[in-house]
Amino acid sequence: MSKPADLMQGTLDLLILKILSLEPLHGWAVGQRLTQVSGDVLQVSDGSLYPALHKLEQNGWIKAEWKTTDNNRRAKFYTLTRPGRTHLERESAQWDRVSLAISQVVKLQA
Amino acid sequence: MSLLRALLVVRLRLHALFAGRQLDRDLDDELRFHLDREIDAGMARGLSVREARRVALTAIGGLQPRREEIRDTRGLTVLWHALRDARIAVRMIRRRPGFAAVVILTLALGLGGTTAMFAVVNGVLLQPLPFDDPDRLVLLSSAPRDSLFGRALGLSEAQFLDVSAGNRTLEHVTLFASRPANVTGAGEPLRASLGTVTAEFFTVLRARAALGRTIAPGDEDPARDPVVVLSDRLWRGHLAADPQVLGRAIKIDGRAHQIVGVMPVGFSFPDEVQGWVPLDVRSWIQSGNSFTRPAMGRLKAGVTLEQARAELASLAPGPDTQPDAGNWRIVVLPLKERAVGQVREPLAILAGAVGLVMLVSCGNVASLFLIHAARRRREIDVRIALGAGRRRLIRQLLVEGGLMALLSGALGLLFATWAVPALLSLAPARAIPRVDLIRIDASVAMFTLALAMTTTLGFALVPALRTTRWAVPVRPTGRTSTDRHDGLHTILIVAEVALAIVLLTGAGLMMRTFLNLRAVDTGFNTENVLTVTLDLPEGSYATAERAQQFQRDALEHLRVVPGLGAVGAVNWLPFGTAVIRGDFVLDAGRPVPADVLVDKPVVSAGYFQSMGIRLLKGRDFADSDSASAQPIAVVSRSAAATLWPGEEAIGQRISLRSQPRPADWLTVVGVVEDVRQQSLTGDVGRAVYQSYLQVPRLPFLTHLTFVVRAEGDPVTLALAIRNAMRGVDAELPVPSVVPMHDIVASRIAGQAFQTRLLSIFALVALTLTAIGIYGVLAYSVSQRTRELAIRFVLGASSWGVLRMVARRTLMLVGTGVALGAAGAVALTQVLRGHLFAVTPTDPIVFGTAMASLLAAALVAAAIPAWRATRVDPALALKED
Repeated sequence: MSKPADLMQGTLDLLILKILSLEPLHGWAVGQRLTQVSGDVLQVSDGSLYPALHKLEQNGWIKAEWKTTDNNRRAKFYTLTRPGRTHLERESAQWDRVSLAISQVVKLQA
Repeated sequence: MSLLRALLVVRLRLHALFAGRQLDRDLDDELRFHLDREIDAGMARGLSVREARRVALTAIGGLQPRREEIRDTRGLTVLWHALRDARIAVRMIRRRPGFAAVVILTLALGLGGTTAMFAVVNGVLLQPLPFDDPDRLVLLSSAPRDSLFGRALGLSEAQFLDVSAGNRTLEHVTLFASRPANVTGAGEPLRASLGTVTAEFFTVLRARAALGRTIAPGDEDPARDPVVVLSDRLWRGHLAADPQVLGRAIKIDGRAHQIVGVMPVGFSFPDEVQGWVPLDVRSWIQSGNSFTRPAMGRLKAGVTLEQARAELASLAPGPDTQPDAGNWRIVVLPLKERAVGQVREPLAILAGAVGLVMLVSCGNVASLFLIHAARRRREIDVRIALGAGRRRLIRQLLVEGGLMALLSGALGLLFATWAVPALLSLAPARAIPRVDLIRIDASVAMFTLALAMTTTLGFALVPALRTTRWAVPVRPTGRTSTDRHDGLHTILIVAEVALAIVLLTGAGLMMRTFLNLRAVDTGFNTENVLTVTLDLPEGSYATAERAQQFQRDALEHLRVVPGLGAVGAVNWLPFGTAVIRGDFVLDAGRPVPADVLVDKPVVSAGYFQSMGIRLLKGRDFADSDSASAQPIAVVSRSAAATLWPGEEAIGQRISLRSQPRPADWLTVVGVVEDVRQQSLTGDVGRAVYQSYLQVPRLPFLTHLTFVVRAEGDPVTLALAIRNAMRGVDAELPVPSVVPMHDIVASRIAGQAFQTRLLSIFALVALTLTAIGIYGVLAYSVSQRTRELAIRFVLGASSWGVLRMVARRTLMLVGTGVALGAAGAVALTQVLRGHLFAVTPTDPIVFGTAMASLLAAALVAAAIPAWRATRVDPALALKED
């Protein structure tokens, strides 16, 4: 199990924001989607998922509301807010730059 | 962060703060939903319900840590946690009220004392003088070159003129003094203290009159009408705050003085005077007399104290000083020294003692926290097992400590508000200067709270770090009988014992000093002796004859008061405000022993009898020894022995003037027992008594004390005495009647005060130490219950167990006593200057201190020891 610290700080946030930018989801579904999109490369524990969600909510980037799921259970759905979208765009651009730089450095050493 | 988002975040945080409970519920729902989906997914993979549940829980890493972590992300985290921890802390405190009460009380006791002493030190020593730019004001004095400035005496008139003219470092220099005076013509006749000052006085202090003007150059001219500047208090109290008062005259010692000004509220420098009159320096110089008065100046801008010192030290001491003028120099001190120089050291000693008491109470609280933490180890372990983070636990223990700090700080302040007036009422009158500046204000309260916080948090922190150290989440529930804190406990108790020993020896030394002083034979008997002191105003008593007539009349009035025994009078009473001491010549060119000065009291017939001074030889003065009779003297035993060794004193002739005319020769007619004139500790003064009726010089006669031996109730007698005095001269302010005993007692009032305070401190420290010893032993016995039970099963006797506890007690106390004694030897050296007839290492004092500490320790050990012998052997078989 990897802890949030193992994942580059901010990466998890970025992934969650990206996933939620496509459609509102509840926590469990976010976890499923994370595993789906990143395959086995990134294993995000359920333990670190919820703190991250709540932190994003406290920062006003996503908002939550209780809705009924398809099999009639109440679940907390998260939606990207307008500030969240702006944040995502800015962070993605930043991410692109950093990851480009890192991959170049890695290549250089290889 | 945009403004909009900032507002949103603030809203969210506030929401989180106030809707915490709702959010907690939501979180639980959310996590449960997640678990359910995981379990469903697991079962879909073919797992059993139990198995699926286990996997789901493992994946999320336990519910409780997650909850904690998520809570941490939201709201105003710090505040939120503080509130929550405070709630838990209150619960904890309520669950163990005994522990909390002892901690809070112990600490409040130390804090109360420390706060009270800090309030005193702050007011007396730290607050600035109430003048403009007070740090620039300096005191000037001539002092022997070879001595470190002992006491600030001041400058003579000639030195004053020299310094005024010769210095470049001071803006202005002034001479000032205070003296008691009779003020009439302003309501009731009043005895008030007046300042005698040069015109520069008000310039130096930068003080302006509230009404009219201050004293100006030229006011001192004897050819001009005398002027006076009044204090606000005198103006309001006796002249009804009359704004038309300028130009009016009041009588000072019978002489009319024109009022030229009134000073603002609160200005009463020096010595709480009520008015100021000009000092005529030049007339003093012309008269050939010299008087040393306090002098002060203001440093010029940019000049440091050191520069002024260097410059003034090089000034010639002046033409009129002693032949050994070269050995004298001018010294410079901050003005505040005048008020506080005498009390700085006694206050520092008391403050140090209070600090030690504070340390002892700290030691107790620290060991209480250790015990408390050890007792809670199980609780802490369980909470760690349930997923509470270490930081979280430490934080919570600290909040608990902080809460207790607040409570004990508040209680300590309360103690202090009570202790400060108690302290001041214990102090001898006027012994503590600047009393009006002593109060518990915001800065004192801050001091207390800061002290409470640092100490308590310190004590809470160490055990908190220790108890939460173990990384193993669940420890086996086995009995841990090794006491991890044993070493620390021992250190704390040893330190407490050592501190208590230091305080006990200090108090003991002061106590012996006080008792020794009280046992000093003064040569007179104070029992039932009442005194009445007055000053005859120069205006109505301008000649020696008038003063002598007054004395004769007063004695006659007093002799007929029923209930009075012997009645007498003296100019300067022993232990009065002054003593006249000077040189003399002997008849027939006999050599005067080098460096011998004699006291020169002037007394009436009946004085020796009323004071209980024994007449050893010859005769007493009689009413018939008047100005027309042969001039006579009575000498004290040691005067007789020094001046006429091996000879008969009676019949010898002596003169108290350096160039005697024939009429100045006195014939010795009697010898009386030695009397201590001024000090209990110094040498006995050699005295040559003269008859009041035979002294022609007025300055020796105007200050007068009547001494009467009471044979009835002193209170009713005091009234009768005052009536009798009023019958002699109704113009005189009615003097108060003071028992002679009080006058002598006031001389050792300072020691009495110090002794009493140090004893209180030492007792508090002793009690706290005993409580500390009790706490540690009781805890160690309770920890070893099982071990003791096994010992009993194996045949140990109660006696053996008792011996075991006693051995541990003695080990703890013995080390502390030894260390404390060593510390006391070093620390009591600061008392050296305050001791009388006892050395700082007095074996009786040290022995008593050690014995009382051992006794207290054994008393403290008694209950735990008794409990140890009562351990039920059956416990050996029981599980925890």
